[in-house]
Amino acid sequence: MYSVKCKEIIGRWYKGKYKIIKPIGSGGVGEIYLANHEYRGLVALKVTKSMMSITKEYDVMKRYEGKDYIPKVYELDDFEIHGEIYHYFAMEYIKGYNLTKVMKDSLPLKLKIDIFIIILQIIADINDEGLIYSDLKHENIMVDERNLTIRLVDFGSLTQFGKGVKEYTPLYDRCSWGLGDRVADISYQTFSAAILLMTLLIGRKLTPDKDKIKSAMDILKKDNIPKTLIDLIEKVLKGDIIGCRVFLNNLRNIDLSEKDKVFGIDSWLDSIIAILVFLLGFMLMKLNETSFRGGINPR
Amino acid sequence: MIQEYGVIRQMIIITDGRSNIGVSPIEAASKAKEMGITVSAIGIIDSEGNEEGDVMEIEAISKAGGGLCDYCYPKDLGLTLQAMTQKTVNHTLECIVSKQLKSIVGQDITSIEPKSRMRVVEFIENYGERVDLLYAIVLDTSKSMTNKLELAKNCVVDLMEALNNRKGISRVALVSYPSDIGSTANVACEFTTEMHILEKGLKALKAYGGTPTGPAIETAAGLIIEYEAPAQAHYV
Repeated sequence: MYSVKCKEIIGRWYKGKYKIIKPIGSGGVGEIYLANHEYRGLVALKVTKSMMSITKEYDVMKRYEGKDYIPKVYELDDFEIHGEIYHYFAMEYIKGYNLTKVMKDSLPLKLKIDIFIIILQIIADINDEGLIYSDLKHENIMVDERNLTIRLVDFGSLTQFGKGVKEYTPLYDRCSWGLGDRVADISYQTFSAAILLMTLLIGRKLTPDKDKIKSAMDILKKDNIPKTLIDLIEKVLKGDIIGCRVFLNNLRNIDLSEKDKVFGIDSWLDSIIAILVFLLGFMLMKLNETSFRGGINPR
Repeated sequence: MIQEYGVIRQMIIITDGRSNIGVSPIEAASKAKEMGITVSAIGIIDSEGNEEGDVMEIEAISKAGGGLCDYCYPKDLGLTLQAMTQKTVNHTLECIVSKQLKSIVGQDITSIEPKSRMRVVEFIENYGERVDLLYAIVLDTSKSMTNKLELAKNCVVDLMEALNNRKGISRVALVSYPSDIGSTANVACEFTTEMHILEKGLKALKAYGGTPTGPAIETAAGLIIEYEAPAQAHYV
């Protein structure tokens, strides 16, 4: 599947020399390779044939260089193999794992929420620049093993407010769930963040389907998630809560102790027992009454 | 003023198999390219297994038609169709701009230093948002598409929605193949900007018969060439 079969590439313009070690990922616009640069050591190379998308992505990463969630980028260049021109840029190699692992691990609820809060802060920061990170998904969020920080790795989907969304993954896409259009606005962003949280909590991904958001909420309910948290996610998905910072504040105000849920089950059981006891009592009374009457007035 | 941006003429073939009736689709695509139409193709990969020949034909069609090609599983068709549309429009513009650059300064985009390309890219992007589009969707409705046709219809509607978000005018036509006769293609919907007209055309489609991909490309090319934008559209 991976198109770069050669062992070594040399940049056409800036003469960077890279030994390709192995492919480490692929996305809609390109492929990522782990490579060794003669001076810098290990780097990640993003390689594609699409000049436009890679130039745009490089430009935006360079523009916001210095934000700690953006990997450091080096040079944008071309190389040629077998008469075909490829474009690439080199960036910092992030040793770690992506959020899919965090999602599948059975971590305490509190920890998952804490991780999500960090992600939400990053997304809010991007939104403050007038941009939407439309392809928000587990695979694009890395946990850096060296210092346990969160880094984003794909910036090809950054879209200005108001423009049509072109890069997305159906699971996180409001339009695929039939809950709005595919336009880069702040509620599109909060929707995708809520789906990210939802899948993080239930530990697996779902298939989006128009009119199926209710069954997704039912899955949350079965999964022992505090009701206040479920209500919050539902509100965000329905567009009643808009904006990552509002989402963030609401999330921080939630009491994550399981009390709520335990209490919920207990009171539910209590009421059933109460009803049963009442019915039993009532039946006994009735029985008593009939046998009493029967005793007095036999026919 | 609008005239300056011109019109981009494209067709995209959505198929799950190999042509088996009529002229060679590769020749038809090559003729369309000569008429200034870019031909791209999406191959739907089936769990029942496609043959290698199917893949090769799609690649050959898009190569002859100067477009792009991609494959996807049925569930990813919507996303692929949209990504592909955007890519082919940009690709076509990239080729046009590159040709113009070459004729003015004797260089194409890749001979500009990467550092300085962003301005050209921004120009192409803005141009791509504003340019008018004639877009013929050529949909395979042969028997093998039976289980995928409803999904494909939804994807076409989604695409139209996405295209309507552009600043330029997007006119979409729908050609399905085979027609009732079996050996030709059917114009399910003429060029339109109206969603309900497209939906009406889609609604009538049923899956049956063989796969005359070549004749379908010819029909779509004919539609595009014969189409003349209504005069008032230029002033919208």
